[in-house]
Amino acid sequence: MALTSRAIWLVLLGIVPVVLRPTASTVWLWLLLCAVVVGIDWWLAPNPRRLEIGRTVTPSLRLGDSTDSTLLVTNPGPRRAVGVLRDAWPPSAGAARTRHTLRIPAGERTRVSTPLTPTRRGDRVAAPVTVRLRGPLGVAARQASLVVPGQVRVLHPFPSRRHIPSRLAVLRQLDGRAAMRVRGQGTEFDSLRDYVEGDDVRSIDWRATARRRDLVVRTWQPEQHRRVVIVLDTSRTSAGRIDDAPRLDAAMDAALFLTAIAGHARDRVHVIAGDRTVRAHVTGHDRVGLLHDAISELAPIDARLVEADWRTLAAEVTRTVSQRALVVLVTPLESSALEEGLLPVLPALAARHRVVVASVADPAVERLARGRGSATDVYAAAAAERTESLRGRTAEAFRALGVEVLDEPPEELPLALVDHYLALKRRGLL
Amino acid sequence: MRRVGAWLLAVLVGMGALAAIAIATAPSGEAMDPEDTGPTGGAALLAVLEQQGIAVDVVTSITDVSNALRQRDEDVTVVVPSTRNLGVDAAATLREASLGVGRVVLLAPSSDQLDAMGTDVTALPIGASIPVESRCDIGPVDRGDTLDDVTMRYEARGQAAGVRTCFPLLVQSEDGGEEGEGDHGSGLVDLPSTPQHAPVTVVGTTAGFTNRGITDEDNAALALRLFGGSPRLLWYQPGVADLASSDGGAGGSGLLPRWLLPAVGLVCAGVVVLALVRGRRLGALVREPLPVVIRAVETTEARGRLYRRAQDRPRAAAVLRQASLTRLRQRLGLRRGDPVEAVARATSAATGRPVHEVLDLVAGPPPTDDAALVRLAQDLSDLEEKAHRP
Repeated sequence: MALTSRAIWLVLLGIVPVVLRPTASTVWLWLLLCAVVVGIDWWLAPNPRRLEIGRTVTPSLRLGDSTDSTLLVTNPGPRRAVGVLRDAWPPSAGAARTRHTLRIPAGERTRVSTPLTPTRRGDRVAAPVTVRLRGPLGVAARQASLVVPGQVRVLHPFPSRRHIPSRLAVLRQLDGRAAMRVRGQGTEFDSLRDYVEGDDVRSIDWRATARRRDLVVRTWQPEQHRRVVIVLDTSRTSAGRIDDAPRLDAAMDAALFLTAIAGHARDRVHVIAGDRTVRAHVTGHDRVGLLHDAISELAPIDARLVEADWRTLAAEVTRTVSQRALVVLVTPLESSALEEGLLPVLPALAARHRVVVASVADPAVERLARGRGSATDVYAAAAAERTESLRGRTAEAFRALGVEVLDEPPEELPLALVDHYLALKRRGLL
Repeated sequence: MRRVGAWLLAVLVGMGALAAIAIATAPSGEAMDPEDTGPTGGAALLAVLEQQGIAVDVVTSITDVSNALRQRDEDVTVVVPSTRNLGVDAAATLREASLGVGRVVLLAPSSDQLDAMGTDVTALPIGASIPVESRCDIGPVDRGDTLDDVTMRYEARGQAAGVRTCFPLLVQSEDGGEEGEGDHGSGLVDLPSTPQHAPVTVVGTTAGFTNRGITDEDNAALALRLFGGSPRLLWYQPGVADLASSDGGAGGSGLLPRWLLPAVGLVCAGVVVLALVRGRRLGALVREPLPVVIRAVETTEARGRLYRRAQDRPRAAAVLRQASLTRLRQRLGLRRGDPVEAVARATSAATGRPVHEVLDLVAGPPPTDDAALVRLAQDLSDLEEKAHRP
């Protein structure tokens, strides 16, 4: 039951009988008449619950892109359905126009679409569709909210994907086309080819050269099919915001970038996200599918205000890989949280795997540390230096265990992490 | 925008206060107000009358006059000292109610009011405020009395018996004499009682009996004799309500169309319907699942505020010195465990500043006030900068 603005005019029209017969009873009689008219109109209005509504919506899109949520409304009843439809979405779905005018003749169908431009990563679930259908006089309407399932998964924008071509070029350089200067344990013999000026003389294969007249060098291809495990910390320390985005978003960017590059290098990548529990575990053989899965699986994950349970996460790593692997722990270097949670389990992990801790640094702390203007600034600078020194102490403790620590601001962390990975690969240290 | 709003509010409040003061302190505007001690009030005359032992009863509405005069009493004088608010209907009611009283005194009434009182007298304004000599000798007026501040003159029409006039207006003739006594009306008309009305005395001044005018000429004596003719005095000061005519409904509602009240009710019903129309929302509000996102630097800033509130200069200085030493060690290729003296020597070599100065800076006593702390912080960053750019 709903009234329209025509009902107001209907009531105000009573001014005519009131002027003609100026008594209070005229007012009451007129209001009674209005109530009767509204009741009849409501009775004659079509029932919105009889409408058949179906929804088509793009299941997923990258943050920053737009899509449409389209509703197909069928009117199976004998009367024309005239009214309003509201396709409600949460505010962060960025629905531009949610109200649509309906005018469906009996037995026909119409299509209404709501443009969506989501403003935040994650799953956006459509709220119930509300339909208000007017009666023939247009003074009253029937209203109902109908559940029409629909969901949009807003994916991480993955801004560092623009660096993929440059790092793939570096990867190709490693890949069998140049004679390796340094041979590591994991490098594999690839092929023999003619010596070209500039090749390392140490890689000349004298036996092969003896068989032929020309100098022949051995080439090596970097190790393949190594295991890379990326662990994303989604605990409270990742909830902190740096500039506009939470730390977790920068951490995901780094994890996705490494997934993309390592996938191309034919390594087996596992992405684990968790805090007290494991919230996502993405794995796969096919490198394109893996990146897609990782982006999709990580999209709805937000940081939670709980302490990370590194014992659980370490156990998940151990369960995932049996042989030596590169384990990347993407977590903010918060001394108190890590020294109590991660430090006890790190020795066991570092003994079995090559462990890298990647941390999103906060440029604001650095800015704060340079403040010299007033006493307030200097106290803040001292606090910032204290934060830095605590982080440094934690990093030192990790390095003492043979763990590499990368502490970079959000834009540089993905590059630093991938460059570190490529350096390890070049030296065959995976 | 907020400042403009604040100014507007201040101006409005100021204007409101001024208006309130103006309304509170303004004179009532009604001449001969029995409580007004200002120039136009009538409190002086009233006080003197009460001193003379006359029981004065002040009423402000014609209904009260009717009630007060319910029993016909010869010993009552009814005075209407200000006729501005005396409506025609009120005057007619007054005529009826005052039948049988000792005397009715009207100050400066209009022709309409006099007609309603049932008298055959025409009122004419003089256009000035002048003193007039009595030239007659009737009860309250002696020959030789002079009435000041006369603003109205009255002419009795017809030849009714017993009509007496005083204070005739005289016009100076060309030869210097005075002519036409009574031709130009007079300042006081005394009418005897008739079946239509009680004895009525019409006086052509109001200003003459106010607090200001009462002391002029013989005004005071005339007023006392006119008003104090009986042991009781009914002082009728007509209120605004008495101005309205009584036909077509009583009071103010008679001025409005009859359908207005039902129409207002209808509009109220319309407002209720508007509330119903606008109040029904199209579906429920949609909840936004917000992630918890705090600024990461918050903890550091909070620690800075903590240092500041505790005035912990030694700790702040120690932290800053430690950080500088760490950077200097890295920069100058020293090991982490190297003593401060070694760092100071190396820094001195790199920057050219004396060793004791550097040592004082990085390991001296803690600063004693905030200014010293700021200075220390600036000196440390200067030192680092110099060491970084040898």
